[in-house]
Amino acid sequence: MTPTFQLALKSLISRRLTVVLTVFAIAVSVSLLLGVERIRTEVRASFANTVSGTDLIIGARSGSVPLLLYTVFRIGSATNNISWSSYREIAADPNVAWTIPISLGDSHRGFRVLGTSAAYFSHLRFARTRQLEFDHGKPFEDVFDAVLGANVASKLGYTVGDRIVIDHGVGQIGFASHKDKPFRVSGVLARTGTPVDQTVHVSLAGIEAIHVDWRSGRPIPGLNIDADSIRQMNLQPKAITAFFVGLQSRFSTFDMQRRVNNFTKEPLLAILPGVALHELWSLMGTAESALTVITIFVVAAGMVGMITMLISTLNERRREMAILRSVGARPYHIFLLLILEAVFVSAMGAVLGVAIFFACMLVVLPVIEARYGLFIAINALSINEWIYLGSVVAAGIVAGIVPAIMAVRRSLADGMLVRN
Amino acid sequence: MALAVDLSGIAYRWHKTHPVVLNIESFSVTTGEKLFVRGPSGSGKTTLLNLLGGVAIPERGKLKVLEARLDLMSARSRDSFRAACIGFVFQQFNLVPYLSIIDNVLLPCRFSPQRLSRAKDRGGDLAAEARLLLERMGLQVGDFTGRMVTDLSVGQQQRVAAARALFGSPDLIIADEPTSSLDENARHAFLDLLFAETVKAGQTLIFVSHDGRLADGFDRVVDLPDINRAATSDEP
Repeated sequence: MTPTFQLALKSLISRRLTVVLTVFAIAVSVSLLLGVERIRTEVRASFANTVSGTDLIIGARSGSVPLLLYTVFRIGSATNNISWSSYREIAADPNVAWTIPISLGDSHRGFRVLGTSAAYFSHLRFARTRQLEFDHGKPFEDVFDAVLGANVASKLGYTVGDRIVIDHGVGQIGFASHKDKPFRVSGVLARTGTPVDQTVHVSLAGIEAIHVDWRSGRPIPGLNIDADSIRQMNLQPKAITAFFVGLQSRFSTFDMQRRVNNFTKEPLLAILPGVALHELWSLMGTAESALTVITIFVVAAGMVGMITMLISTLNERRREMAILRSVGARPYHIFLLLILEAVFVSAMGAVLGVAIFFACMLVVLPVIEARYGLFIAINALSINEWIYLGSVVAAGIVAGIVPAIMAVRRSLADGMLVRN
Repeated sequence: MALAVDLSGIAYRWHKTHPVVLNIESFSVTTGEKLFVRGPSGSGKTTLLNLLGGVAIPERGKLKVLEARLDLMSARSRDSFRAACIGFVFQQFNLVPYLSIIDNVLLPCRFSPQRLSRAKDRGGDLAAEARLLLERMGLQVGDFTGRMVTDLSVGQQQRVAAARALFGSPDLIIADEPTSSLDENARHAFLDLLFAETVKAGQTLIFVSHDGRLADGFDRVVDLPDINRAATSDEP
């Protein structure tokens, strides 16, 4: 084993250019394999962490996945609102322990603005049991107070006391802004690794206040009510986007869901976050499998590249094999030489692939966090990922068998003298 | 006197459907003898060398090399026998291109514990021993550090190959046209070195060449076409 080990190493070093290229091809495929796997599992974990402790999410009737996406992940927009009276009626049900109303539709410099109540800070849970905490300041008290998610504050450099202007609509650039009624930052939340970090929170009254003198998405001409007069007005909202529900007992979940879905005064939809998440995964399952299959094919292509490299040199290596035979190498040594070369190449590919993978994670993760509010930690390789790496090296051994057998057969035919 | 090589009733063909290429009634070499085998192309030279090296075995007959019945041994033991007891020098391209000069010389020791221990008995440091041998062959290794063996001249490469064959003192040295790619002067110098080293170690030398002019200085000359009854006239 040892002499062959050294031979294999030195042989590869002598062909470093083609070897490096082959290793690189395998490394790229390995990093792709790890990347797809990591993003897939981490996104799932991150999504699952985002909504905890909420038994039902209730919104206007649409699909359960869209409702989950726009309420929890701030992806997409609601098609319809639900009336305040419906919300109050359900919230008053004796089975309901707490509710968090939310109102979406405005933004601040690309970050979504969410109107809610104080219940948001006391009842919302993430990562199973964790509660929202304040880094600075406190919840909103005044109509024009705003609480910022950790990323909003750090990206835009806001601190408590700063004034911010809310834009109407949720585009990257607001079409119109509520600049006559600026908000004051009353608090900044601690980082959660969920979309909360990307959100500007204001009271429902605040949302109502900035829209008092608006109709159909634009300011009413000539009507301009100043902030102080608004404080005196009745700022009870007429509608909200959706609300989260915590029940007294989990056993009543399905009963409550059925009752909400049969609500006669307006079409409502109640979803169980876990079930909707599961539905989302089954939707994405096909795309995920397709991605995994593609990745496996990319790895296979890398392996084929390695087989090609090994086979293409066999002809010019016939003399080398004959010399090795003449000094006493057995066919087993010839076989082992080729297998070891394949193992080295695939193992180096795997190692370099891991390096590329981590380098890419460093670059990509902040982008994912900024774009989707999903915080993915750079963790050590999981058991699954180690299994993938092991499989790549195992595939390398299997791939090496073909050139190894060819080399042995040629060597046996040639003996010690290569006849031209 | 003991026989280094003892062949009788040998017949060999590449494949059952092919004609016999080697048919030797009797052929022997005494221990310590320097034998010149004159063999033009098609005389069965390659086959004879593969048989002596234990890479091939005859269809029938007795194949005895250094008291070992190669025809009765397993492929595995023939391989380790070859590593331990025979040093080969071929016509050209004798060296493993990706190994250093010293590593090429030490190559047989990597596959044969016997040659490794014999080489160690002489000195201690293998590389130093190899360097000494190369110096006796007229190659100052220090002059070639960092150079690929493929950058050496053909004459230098052949000397490295001879050093590898001799290293670890195998009992039998088989040289197959080792001088055919050398010029006249280098040819004689190479032969002299080979003689000097084999005589000193008491090794048996079988030198195969188509060029009968090189036969001076050998103990005995054998014409392969004379002993191989299956020999064809010339080019196959």
